[in-house]
Amino acid sequence: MTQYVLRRVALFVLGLVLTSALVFALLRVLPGDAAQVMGGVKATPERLDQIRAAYGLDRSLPAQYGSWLAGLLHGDLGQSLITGVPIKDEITQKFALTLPLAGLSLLFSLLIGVPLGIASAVYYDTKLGGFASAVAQGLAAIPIVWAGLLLIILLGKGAGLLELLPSQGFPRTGWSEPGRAFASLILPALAVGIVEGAVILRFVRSALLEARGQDHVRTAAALGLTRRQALIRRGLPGAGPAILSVVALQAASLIVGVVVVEALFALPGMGSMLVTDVGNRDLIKVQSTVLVLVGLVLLIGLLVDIASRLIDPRQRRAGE
Amino acid sequence: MSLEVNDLTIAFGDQVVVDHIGFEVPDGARVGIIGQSGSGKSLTTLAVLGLTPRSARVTGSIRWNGRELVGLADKVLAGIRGRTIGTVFQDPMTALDPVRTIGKQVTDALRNHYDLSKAELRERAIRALDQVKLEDPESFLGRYPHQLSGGQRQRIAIAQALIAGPRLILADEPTTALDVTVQAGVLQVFNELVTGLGSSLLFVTHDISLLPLVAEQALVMEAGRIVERGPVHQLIDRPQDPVTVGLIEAALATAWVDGPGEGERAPSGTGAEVRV
Ligand SMILES: Nc1ncnc2c1ncn2[C@@H]1O[C@H](COP(=O)(O)OP(=O)(O)OP(=O)(O)O)[C@@H](O)[C@H]1O
Ligand SMILES: [Mg+2]
Repeated sequence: MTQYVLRRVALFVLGLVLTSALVFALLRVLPGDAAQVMGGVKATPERLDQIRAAYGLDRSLPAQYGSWLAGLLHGDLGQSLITGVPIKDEITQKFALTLPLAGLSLLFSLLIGVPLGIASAVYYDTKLGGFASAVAQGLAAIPIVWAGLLLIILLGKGAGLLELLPSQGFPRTGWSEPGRAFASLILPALAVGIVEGAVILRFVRSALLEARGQDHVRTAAALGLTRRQALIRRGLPGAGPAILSVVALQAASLIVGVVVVEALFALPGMGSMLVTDVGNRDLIKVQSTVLVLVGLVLLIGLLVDIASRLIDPRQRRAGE
Repeated sequence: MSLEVNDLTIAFGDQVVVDHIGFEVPDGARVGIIGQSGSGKSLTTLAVLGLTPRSARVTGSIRWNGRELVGLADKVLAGIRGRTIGTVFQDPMTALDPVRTIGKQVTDALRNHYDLSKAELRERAIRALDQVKLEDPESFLGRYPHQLSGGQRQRIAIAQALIAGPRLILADEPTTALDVTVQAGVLQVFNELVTGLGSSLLFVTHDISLLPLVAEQALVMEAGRIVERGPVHQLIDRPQDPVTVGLIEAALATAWVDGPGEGERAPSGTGAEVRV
């Protein structure tokens, strides 16, 4: 097991390095110039050169990549080209909003996906089960922006029919007013949770439908469980690792979803910051932010792989 | 306690796969069901348990201890399954739960039906594993199915089915998936246990050569019907129906392929085994 974890961590680090190279390269081919944004439209060519020299943008690409990577190794994500603020500080601050939002989104998607997935598999041959799975099919296909808009129209304060929950912004006071802060995250997290939950629902459903035909589930019923108990108690755990890995695969689209709803709900988190920074061509900041987000996705993958190894004895080798 | 089956019919849509069959397993009797692949043997045993696929329509009557089982609520049937009727399935590679320990799953029937303490369950598990002649039974408690051989798994499947002392045992080709040499040992253990319990037995197989070892009476099934029935020795010595003759020839051919008693038969599913 230790050996497996070490190998898996090595893979994680390799993934990070590859991501860093990819992100760096992609941003260099993006049109636009940070110096131009900083200097303003009227800046003379000499002024632009000055700015580039000041921020190291005149160096060769490998040199720029090298110094960024060297900084990362020391936990230094660099400084914003535009504001000069250390990127690490700003990301840490934005995380206070984005992490709870991502966590709440994940929670909603699991609360929606797992129980409804089980129900729709158990009742798959009834009209209700068919209806549920058709709804899930539809929800999984709609863009998160639409889900968000729909929620705002239905439930949002100010614009909505029911005016139940705040739909724009985050309290200036942040988490010192936990109730208000939390309330402002509910609708955006629900928007992500519904769409991601629909994907999980479909997966849980199909994993369970497959389990329905499995011999050991039939054995469990032959030993005195009802058919439904056998399916849920014995079929579901077998599907556990597969469901976990889908959740991990969904982590990437969940993070993207979070970035999207932050913009839609005017939440000042990582996502909104990223959108602004791309507009400003704040290269190093975009680079570092994207790397942190991808790192988060890779980290979830790492944890899920280890967890699924722990819950599935077939994946453990003898003696582990 | 006897099992009486009358007019049992199982259909998928308009395809009838078990066609108005009737038979009886009197208290303590051992009855074999023999027939080619697809003749409806498994569905007949599953119907007794109320575990036919949902898409199957089951009609007719199955009486267990006087009580009608066809149409009974699954909750009630579950109270019978594993307690008074025990079942051993065919494929030991897939019939056990891959993610639970042997110690847990071997006592499932007890835990589903009785309220025993942890210590009692452990003791019963060890005794059950010992009864199917697994050496050092305690060492199996914490292991998982994928760590065991096919023969060991099938012994566990037997222990699991019989642990609550069922009055009727359904065995659906319990040794078909095993190597012949392993088969003999498993069958012997199974026989001893059934004898010890004094339970009735319904033994399904497509290998007629096994019948004399496990049953006194047998039914021959073909395409959902019973084409011949009677004492096992009579079926083998003086078969009346061409289907029975065919099954005997198939068994002889298999024996010839295997050599006299010690051949290494390929595991079922490779196509190497002879099924006419
Ligand atoms: N879920 C199902 N849907 C449709 N037909 C089925 C289904 N299950 C079984 N059948 C059909 O019912 C018939 C009897 O099947 P059954 O499993 O009882 O055969 P069997 O005698 O046990 O064969 P084997 O020796 O191969 O186990 C077969 O023709 C099979 O194709
Ligand atoms: Mg069968």
